[in-house]
Formats: sequence, C-alpha cells, structure tokens
Amino acid sequence: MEEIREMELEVKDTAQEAPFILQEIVIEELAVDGICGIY
Amino acid sequence: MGQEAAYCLSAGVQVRREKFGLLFYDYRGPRLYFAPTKDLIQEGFFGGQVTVADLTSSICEANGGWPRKLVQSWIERTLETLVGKGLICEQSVC
Amino acid sequence: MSNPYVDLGLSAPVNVSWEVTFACNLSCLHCVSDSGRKRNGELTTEECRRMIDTLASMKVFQVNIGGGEPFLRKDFLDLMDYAHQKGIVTCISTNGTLIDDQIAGRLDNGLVYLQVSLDGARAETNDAIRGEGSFRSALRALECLSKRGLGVSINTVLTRLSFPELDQLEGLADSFGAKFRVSRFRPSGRGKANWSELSVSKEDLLLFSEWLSRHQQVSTGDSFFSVSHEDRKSLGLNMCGACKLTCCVSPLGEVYPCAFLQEKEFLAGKLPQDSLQFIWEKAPVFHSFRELEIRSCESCLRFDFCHGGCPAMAYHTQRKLGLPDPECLANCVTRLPVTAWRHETGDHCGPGSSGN
Repeated sequence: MEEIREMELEVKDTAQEAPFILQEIVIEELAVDGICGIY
Repeated sequence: MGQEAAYCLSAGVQVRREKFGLLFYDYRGPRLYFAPTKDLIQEGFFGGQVTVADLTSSICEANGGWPRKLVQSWIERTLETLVGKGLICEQSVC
Repeated sequence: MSNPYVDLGLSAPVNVSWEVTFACNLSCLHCVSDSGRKRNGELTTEECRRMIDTLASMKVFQVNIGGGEPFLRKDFLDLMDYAHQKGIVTCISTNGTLIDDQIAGRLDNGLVYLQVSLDGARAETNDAIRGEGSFRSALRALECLSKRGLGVSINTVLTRLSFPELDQLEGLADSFGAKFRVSRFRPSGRGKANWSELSVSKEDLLLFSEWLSRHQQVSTGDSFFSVSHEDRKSLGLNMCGACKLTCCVSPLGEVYPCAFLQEKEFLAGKLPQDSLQFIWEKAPVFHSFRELEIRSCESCLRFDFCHGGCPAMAYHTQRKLGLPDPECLANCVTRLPVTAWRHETGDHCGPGSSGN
C-alpha cells in the first residue's frame, strides 16, 4: 500500500496522467454454447 | 513474478484484440472472458517470446511519462488475474 | 444486452454456423434447412477455402458446421484439415450415417468436436423423425468416435416425441462419455410443416424448464434461455447472440443473422462477392438486428433472464420481429390454469414422471 501511495505521488509530481494503470482489471465472463442453429 | 517471465495461452484457449482490450475464448467451456486491457497488451505477448520486462518497456515508451514501477505493477496484477482464470500460464509451465 | 463489451460491438463473430451443403441422406421432419439434394450454386472447394481464410483473419474462434449432412461433401475432410491448419476449432454436427473408423481417424486432432444427432432414446422414437435405420447409424457413429476419445456430444431436438425420453438420452450420452445437448425446435424449414405435430405443449415446456434446472450439466446451445430458470443463468447466454456473437452462412454462401432466419428479408450478403468481414461490420440487416428491442418485455420480471427470448420464434409464429418469444416461461405460466403450474407446490415433475 505504501509503495502504491508513493507511486501515486510520483505520478502527480510528474504531472503525467496514468489513472488506468492504477486500476485493477475486472474480467467479465460469459458462458456461450453457440450451437443454436445446428441440429 | 520475474521480469524475464514469458507467458503463453493455456491449452484450449484463444485470444484476440477488441476495442476494450482482449477477448479470450476457452473452448473447454466454452466460455468468453472480456479483459479490459485497452491497447496495452497485444495478442502476440502470449506467444511465449515476449517477456514481462519487454512489455513493461513497450508500454512505458508508448505512454511517455508513465512510471515504470506503476506499469510493472499493473502488468503483474493483470497477468496474475489471467493466470488465476486459467487463461494463460508462464512459459516454463506451459 | 447485459454484457457491456458485447454491446460495444465485437470486431467479428465469436462463432459462425456454417451449413456446408443441402445434400442429405436423411429427411428429418424438423430440418431447419429443408435439406435433401445438393443445390446449384453451393460454394465450391476454393470458395470454401477462401471463406476459411476470412474466418481465420477475422479470428473467429469456432465454426459450427452442419448442413444437410456435412460428410456428403467429397471435399469435406480436406476443408476440415484446412480449417484446423488455420487453428480454427470446429464442431461438426452429423447424423452419423457416414462415420467410420477411417473418418474418425482423420478427425482425431484436438480441434474437432462432433455432435451426433439423436431424437429419441429408442429406435422407434428417433426413426419416426429421422428415418428408418438412423438410430442404429447414430449409435454406431457414437461408438466409433468415443472409442478414439474424440470430444462428442449427442444433440436432441426437443419435440413431443423426444421429451419423455430425455433422461434416457442423457444416460445414453453418459454411456458413450458424451455431453448431452437439447436444442430448441423452431417452425422453420421443414419444421414449419411439422410444427403442430411435433412441438411440445406449454405444460411440457414448464416441466422441461424444471428438468433443465435439475440437469445443469446438459447444454442447450443457448437456445432455451426464454424458459430457463435463474439457476442456469451462468451456464449460457441469456439473450439472442445473432449478429452480436454469431451469424450463419448457408451452403450457397448467403449470410444471415442465424440459421432459423434464412429468409430473403434477413439476407445480409452473399459470399464470395461480399466479404464476411464487410457483412459483419456494415450490413444494414445486421445493424437492425443489433438494435432490436423487445419493448413489450422490458417490464417483465424475467427480462434480465431472457431479454424477450428468441426473435426467430417471434418471427415464425407472428411474422414479425420485435415481439416476445411465445414460448417464454412467463407466457407459459400465465396462459395455463394455476393447477397446471406445479413448480411452486414442489411436486416432482419431469419427463417420465407420473405428472407428465
């Protein structure tokens, strides 16, 4: 956590925007059994 | 996670780029996985030839000013998530 | 749609249903494509290879192949080899009549799944729909394929005849180490003429819905979301995937939203003149389909589970898209007398039960 805070300060200091890479990516899942039209 | 680690797709998994990032298809489900990685990771990264260090450098270069440690941390967390879902594995393990 | 990424629009289908020929050695009563004889204008070998190239370049993950009977095409195995060289996973639907050990050997490469069609657990039931001897052929094919450890499923179309035998069919699938899939019968193709004779009643649809809840390992080809209970929500799509996740290519190269909407008004383009990539991205038919909303369903408590159901069912029964699926769970429940709805009383219901 400390390390992340330091990094956030570093970002602000350099006045560069990198908000996306501070985020955790959330993977969405979708089950698909797409054999709908083939008998 | 070592910087020299490389990753490949797990057996039965395919991937392609989409607007939002990466779309994985696991035909053992079958199941789709939507990973919102934007344009930061290309499908080619999962060929087992590109290391985490290479990826970190290329993201930093493409987004001048992004701190390397932050980028590295994001990559590590992202890859851990993908490994956790069974979509990729480290090259030595594949 | 409940998935924001699919709503955004995918660059290509996730899977494509490809009917490779109209030629068939059976005359199943419910045939979606009214198959029988090969027709003039079916895609040539070269045109098929070009289409496979396009599927590979679009990075379509899986191609679901049917017909007619795919193995009647003389070039079929070569086309499959070509698709597999390109890394495309194929699921081949077959009546099994032409499967032998040699063919099974050609398919043993890790990129093929086979679906053998069987519409009854007994020859009498199956053959009433598919023709005499078809049950025996299907079982022989299953034996052949499972012996090699190939990924196999049995596909059964839900009809008045197959419904009472679902438990036995599932058992049959287990005995071959095969998955079991139940597909939805729709009044298209030859199925139109036989719809009233073969379709299940609303009472049986309710029972089937409960049966599906008790048999979570049975797949449905994403075709029964309109009658599936909440406990199956994570097992497949809860909306129509046509033009968003999938589309259909006919033996003549005609591209449609799905196999059940192979009608002139839904023709989105034709291969090889039009490219599949262009059709996917630009065809007005596909754009309209993506924007289809079943407004009258939006206030329903089950909307999140089915999003209005199957548009093809609405079209074939009411000659219009944009209307609710007539076989949705809500419709089945509200149109029956209360005594017929047993779910809430906890009575055991299902195929083969005394309540059936």
